[in-house]
Order: sequence, then C-alpha cells, then structure tokens
Amino acid sequence: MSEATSDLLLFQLGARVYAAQVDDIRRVGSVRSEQSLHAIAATVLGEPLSQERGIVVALGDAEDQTLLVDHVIGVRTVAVEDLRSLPAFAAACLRSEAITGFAMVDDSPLLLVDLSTLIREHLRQGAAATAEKRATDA
Amino acid sequence: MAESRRQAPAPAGTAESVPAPAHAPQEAWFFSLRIMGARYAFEAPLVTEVVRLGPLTRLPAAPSFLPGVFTHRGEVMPVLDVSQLVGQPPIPIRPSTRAALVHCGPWKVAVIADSIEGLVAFPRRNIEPAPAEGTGVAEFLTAVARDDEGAVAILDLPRLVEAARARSVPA
Repeated sequence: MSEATSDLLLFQLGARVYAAQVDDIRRVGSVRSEQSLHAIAATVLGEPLSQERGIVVALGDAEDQTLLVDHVIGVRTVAVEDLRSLPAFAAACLRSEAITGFAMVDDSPLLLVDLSTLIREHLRQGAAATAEKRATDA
Repeated sequence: MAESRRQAPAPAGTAESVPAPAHAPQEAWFFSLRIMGARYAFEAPLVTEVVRLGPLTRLPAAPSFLPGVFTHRGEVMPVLDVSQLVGQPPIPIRPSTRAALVHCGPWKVAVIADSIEGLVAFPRRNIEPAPAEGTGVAEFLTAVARDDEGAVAILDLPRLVEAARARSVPA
C-alpha cells in the first residue's frame, strides 16, 4: 500500500526556506520588470533580497497574484505524516493565518505557508491602509 | 532529550488554598525555576516534563514572547518566554537552555528559564498571599512562599498563558 504524499514547492525568501502546497500555484517564472510593478514583495514572511523569481498564485475568486521570492528550490514530495500542524498556542498567537505548520524535509522543519492566505492578508492590509489614508486626507 | 519526568508526591496546593483546611497536606508542591534574576514557581502538576531546548525555528508574525518552536519527540512545541511577556529582556537561548513542558488548559507550551530548580515543597504556613496589586509579572502572582533559600513568587501560570494568547494581535 502506497503512503499518502503531498507535493510542496520549496522557495527561499531572505535567509529562510519555506514550503507551500503546489495546489494554489499557477506557475513560477523569472521576474520581468512589467510584472514586478504589480507583484507582491513585502509580506509577513519578510522582503526578498534579490527578487529573482515570481510565484503566480491562483486566488480562485480574484485575479492571480505574483509573490516575489529570491529563489525557487524546486518541488519535493513528502509523506503526509511529515506535515505537522502549528501548535495550537502558536497558531493562536501569530498575527497571520498564512503560517499553517511545518513540513519535515531532510529532518529539518520547514515552515509551511498557505500562499493564497498570505496574499489575501496582504491585499486586505493594503486596502485597510489605503482606506485609512483616505480618511486621514479627507 | 527528556531529562526528567517527575510526579509530585502529594497533591499540589494552590496559593488560594492558604490557610489550609485541617485535612489538607501540610506541604504544598510547586515547580520552581529561575527567570528575571529571581525564583518563580507554579503548580507542579502542570509540568509534564523538563527538556533541553532543541534547535529553535522562529516564526514570522510572532509576538516577542513566542521566540519560536522546537521539535520534541516528533511533536512541535511552542516556546514561551515569560520575561518578554511581562516586558523584560529576553531569556538568552543557548544549547544548555532547558524548558518545562506544561499543560495549561487547551495550551501546551515550553516555558524557558535561565535555570530550572524542579519540584519544591513549602510548608503551608510559609505561603503568603501576593500583594493585591501589581504590574508586569506581579499581575500574575498568587502567593509568595519562603524556604531556606529565600522567597519564591508563585505564578498563576494558566492565567499568564491565557493572557499571552489574549495579548496577541489577531490576524
């Protein structure tokens, strides 16, 4: 009987490597200047340094968005039993719901990121900041 | 990684139980550790294990009192720095740093300390109520106990852990 597995995209952002489920990812590409104008750089994960790659994320009910990262390491298939949820206390304390748990890859825990939630939170915060600025200016 | 798993030889007393009724044990057991340059303790049954901290994985968007998580026997444990929670400097995390794994209601956390003393028993007559008001860590004190080594501040750890969660900014 084959064990259940999950495909993860491993990417580097700043000094850290993260993992994300491939299901939400439309494609990965190099960053062209016209794309990067509208791409998302700074999120709760931090800001990429070299911004060499863009991960295009499908949001379903909204337009696809591109998340800038430094490097895309590749896709790894891991056993589902190597995916761990975030401890309840940590989940209750984090300011973001995009960090969902860990993937044990080569015996190291990599943070598992829900990319669509990460981008939705970023867009929501951006919209809130814009509304606040308009209210202040008015 | 586990260093000890100890049970209190008698039901732990609580600070609120002072003075003890006639049938209560003459001693109350607590788990003591040293943080912020002083001795603190909390109810012994909350502690399941004392472990040496493994490599810490820091979490994005985490409050300062949650310096990260580590893996213990395949389980991911969140680390609680009480010192940072009450606005004091962080407890230095070194290879020798140890943590008490505690269960507080629904939450399971690893409380780090400068050093861990372990189980201590105090005669109930040596336990006094905490000052009525206070800020910082004093907000979470329930009693002050004394032994040959001096005073020990007794913490309401479940309330402290719940306060930590409540102080976190929701997403």
